[in-house]
Amino acid sequence: MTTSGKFQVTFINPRDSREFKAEVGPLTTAGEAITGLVKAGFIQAPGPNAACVLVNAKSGASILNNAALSASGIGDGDIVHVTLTSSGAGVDR
Amino acid sequence: MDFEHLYSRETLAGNDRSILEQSVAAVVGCGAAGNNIALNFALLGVRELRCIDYDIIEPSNLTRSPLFKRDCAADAGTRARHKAREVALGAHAKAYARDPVSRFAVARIEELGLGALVGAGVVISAVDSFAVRGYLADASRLLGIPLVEVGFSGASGHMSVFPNRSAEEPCFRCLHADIPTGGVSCALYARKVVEAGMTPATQSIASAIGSIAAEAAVRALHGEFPLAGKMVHFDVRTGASRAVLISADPECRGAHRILSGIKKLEVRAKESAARILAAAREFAETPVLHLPAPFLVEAPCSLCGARVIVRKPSWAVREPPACGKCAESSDDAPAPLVTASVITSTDQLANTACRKLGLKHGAVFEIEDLSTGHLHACRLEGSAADLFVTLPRTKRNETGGSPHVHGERKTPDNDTRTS
Repeated sequence: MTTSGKFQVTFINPRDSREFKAEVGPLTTAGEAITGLVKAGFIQAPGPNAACVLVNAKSGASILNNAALSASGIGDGDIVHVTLTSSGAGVDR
Repeated sequence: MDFEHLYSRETLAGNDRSILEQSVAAVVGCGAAGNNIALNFALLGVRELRCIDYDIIEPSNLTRSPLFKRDCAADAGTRARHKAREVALGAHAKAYARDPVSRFAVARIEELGLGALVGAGVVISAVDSFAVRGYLADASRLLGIPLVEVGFSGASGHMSVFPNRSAEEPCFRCLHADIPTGGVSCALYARKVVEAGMTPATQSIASAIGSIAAEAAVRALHGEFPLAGKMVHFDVRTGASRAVLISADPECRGAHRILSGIKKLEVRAKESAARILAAAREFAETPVLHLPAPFLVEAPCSLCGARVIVRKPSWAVREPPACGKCAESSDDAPAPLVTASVITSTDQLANTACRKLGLKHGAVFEIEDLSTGHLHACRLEGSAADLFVTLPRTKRNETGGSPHVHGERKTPDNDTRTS
């Protein structure tokens, strides 16, 4: 952990198990982390037909999009799974 | 060839014929995923299949839907284009169970209610709406039925297994805390998805997900849950897969309880809610009926805010209420939204027929005894079969030959098609 309270988290891509190490702030929320992962090209933007949720790899607990990672039991060196729930057959009308 | 020989390979692989010959699987959503899962169930010898979907077949569905006939998307009438019907017919023709039973309902699952799932050994959630997935998570948990949940996009798919053996286990809502809990938002959500356009999909991912989900479901029917509480992601192009553990959220808004000792009341769906409350006095001093879904009594017009009488269960409200008299928006304060979730014997709604309140044949609901605070799970008269069209029974001979379906047996509630 740095003096600014930032800490390192490893995100795991659900589709190909790629890892992405990132430094996050003490107040960084799951939603902000997801936006950052999309901007970095690590995951695709889920869009309205899908939902992206971060899961604490240690506990299996999902992290609310508006909750800070640090307040959800994520600390320096922890691993976070990115899960992507998509809409299935899709709507093509 | 006898049945033992027919399933000799599956038996060696660990499938128990005596279990599958008694099994009931409910497939909610008969699109690409539902098609491939139902096909697997038919070949694996699952005895009873309940197919539920309100939608009709479009030409672009055919290339991922092995149970749809080639011509059923084009010139056929609306009846022949109902996804649930075509999946049931297709699966029935492929079924190798000794005495297969195939049923279908052209309806939304919220419309049928929990009664449609009673007796099932496993529920498959293959729907395209997050709100309905949330509904199925709650429904299967309340009934204690294992839920297999699937979805895909492009070459990637996912599947989760929720055994629902206890109230404490994780559920779909533990992962997706922000999914609305039914209500009017379902329709709004569905519209949003339609506006969002198409989901990329291929038969490769649909069949892969159909296989992995069918195997998870068959294991669940055997009482085995190797993937309990896990979400499996996989990609058919790269072969990569990953299982993510999901844990229960102590603040989950989902139904983390299982109904027990469901009492069957001698009340039919066409009778009034007052009859339910009268029958409930046998076990509850001051009974109150909890509706499975809120009943929308009145709502403001979406344009001018004027009062609009709705009188429908919230799942039946598919368009924003409109008074039909206004042409433009108004600055007046909008009329209040009036909903009912509970009914007492003195409420005007107590005189409304159960089916108008959203309680169909065999509906499952709860009665609260206000004097003790105790909740009693109850059912209306009727069974799940009353909610479905059942295809004619075609008992297999010893050769396991294909059946010929000549007609459909109508049941009391199968005329409530919504498409």
